[in-house]
Amino acid sequence: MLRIKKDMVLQETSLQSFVVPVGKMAEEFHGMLRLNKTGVLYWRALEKGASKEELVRLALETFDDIDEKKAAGDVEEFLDSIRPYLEEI
Amino acid sequence: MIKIRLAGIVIAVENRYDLLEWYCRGYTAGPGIKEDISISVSPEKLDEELEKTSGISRRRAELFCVYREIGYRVLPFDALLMHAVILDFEGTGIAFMAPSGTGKTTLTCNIRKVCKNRVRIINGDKPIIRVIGRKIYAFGTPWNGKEGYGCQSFVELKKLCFLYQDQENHIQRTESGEAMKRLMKQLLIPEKGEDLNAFFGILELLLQKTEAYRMGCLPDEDAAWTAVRGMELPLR
Repeated sequence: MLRIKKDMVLQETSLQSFVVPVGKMAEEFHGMLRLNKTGVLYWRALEKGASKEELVRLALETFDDIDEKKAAGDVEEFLDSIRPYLEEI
Repeated sequence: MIKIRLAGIVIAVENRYDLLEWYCRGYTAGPGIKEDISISVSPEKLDEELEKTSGISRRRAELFCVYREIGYRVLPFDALLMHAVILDFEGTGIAFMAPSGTGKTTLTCNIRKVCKNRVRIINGDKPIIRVIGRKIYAFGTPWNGKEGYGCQSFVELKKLCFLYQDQENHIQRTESGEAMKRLMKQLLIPEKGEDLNAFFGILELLLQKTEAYRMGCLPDEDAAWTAVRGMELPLR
């Protein structure tokens, strides 16, 4: 099971969604991450804790034009892009 | 201790070195005025600053630490610190933004040269942006760059211009989402999670109230005319 590390805050605005490191994380990570709508979906799930399989199921439930193989690939790619911000629980 | 007024906010600073008092001359708050914010910089923060920026004295490190602390603390007053050159073109505020060395100062000086007394520079480096009555204003601060361009004044911000160096001068409107991405690189991001809502609230309002442009430029006077025409500033 994976979870977003504490102090990585997702801020959604009408234009863009950003992940901003605050507190202790701001000392470790500089700058911020931009997420598209899919990224926000996965991020919100990971804030509570989720496995890769749960994220794939979430993608299949949310998007019409996607099969399991594509969903698994997308989820893996997303997880790779945010690996430094994740912890195992 | 010194008391200064920036963007209408009175800030008391427990300074260790006299350089800060000299640096902020002209922004001193009158005697007996109650401060809105109190700031002091610990020796540990100074040490951190010295580690980050080699070759500066503790006196100069205090300047950097104080402006950063001000940047974090003015957020409850609907204000934030920006890295930009602010031009007042007959009441129209324009924020020119780019990494240091791109040519913001060169361009704004060329605009001032070709448009003469129709233009003034409000701040050459670190203005404070403040929301007042649902309008966005850019205020001068003592942190106005190595050339010291700026004045103790303010202007309503109506245009944002993101610069980059190019082989020719050209400018175009940029949409808000793209502008937000670029703007984030020029703002002091809050350290505390509880400040993020206020920060992004100001950011969204800033993008609603301004037109954003991207400009490729050369360091010449033609760039000034390109900027003025491209942003539809009134030409006589």
